Amino acid sequence: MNPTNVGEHTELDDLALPRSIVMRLIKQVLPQKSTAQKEAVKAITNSATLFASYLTSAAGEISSTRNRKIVMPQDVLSALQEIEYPEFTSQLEAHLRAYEAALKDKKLKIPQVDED
Amino acid sequence: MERPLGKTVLPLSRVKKIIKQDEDIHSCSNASALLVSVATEMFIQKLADQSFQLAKLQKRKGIQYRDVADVVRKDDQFEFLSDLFSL
Repeated sequence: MNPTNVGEHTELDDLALPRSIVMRLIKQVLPQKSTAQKEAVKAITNSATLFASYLTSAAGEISSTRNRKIVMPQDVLSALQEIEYPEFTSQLEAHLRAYEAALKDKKLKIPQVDED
Repeated sequence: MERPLGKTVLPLSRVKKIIKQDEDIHSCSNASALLVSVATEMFIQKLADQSFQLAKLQKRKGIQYRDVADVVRKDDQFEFLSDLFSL
């Protein structure tokens, strides 16, 4: 797939994350007055989709070695080590704790496994 | 980057769609999808930041496509993206 072919519709486009949100995330790490060229944003957007599936695939493999059919958060955390993004782990653990605490707080029903 | 913990700014439905593309995945808990989503946010910012560092070396204020491509070429952490940037 060639991301410079902006006119061409690829399967990555169907799975693309929204440009406006990606742009906002990018701007948060750039100094003011800095910009990102349209093709650069598209390249980062496509890369993000690939990252998500790369991480998913690693997490899926870990869950099957753990004899589970459902990918659990621990599998995702282990997958980050596996794909060499260990620096994301501590922040994700904090997100997981906050998410679980919020679930408990709201006394939500059993966390659903993948609707639809 | 400070963001509300336990939440993602990316649309979780889209992230789940990406997860579902993987034929080896039977199902994925909501918490797992959230973690994939937040990790993807962090990834976007990491790639953008490193691309910007290259732009800065060239005394530019804007990230260009070639900055992103150069980061992917130079840094092993992004090697999984190399097909996307092979011209």
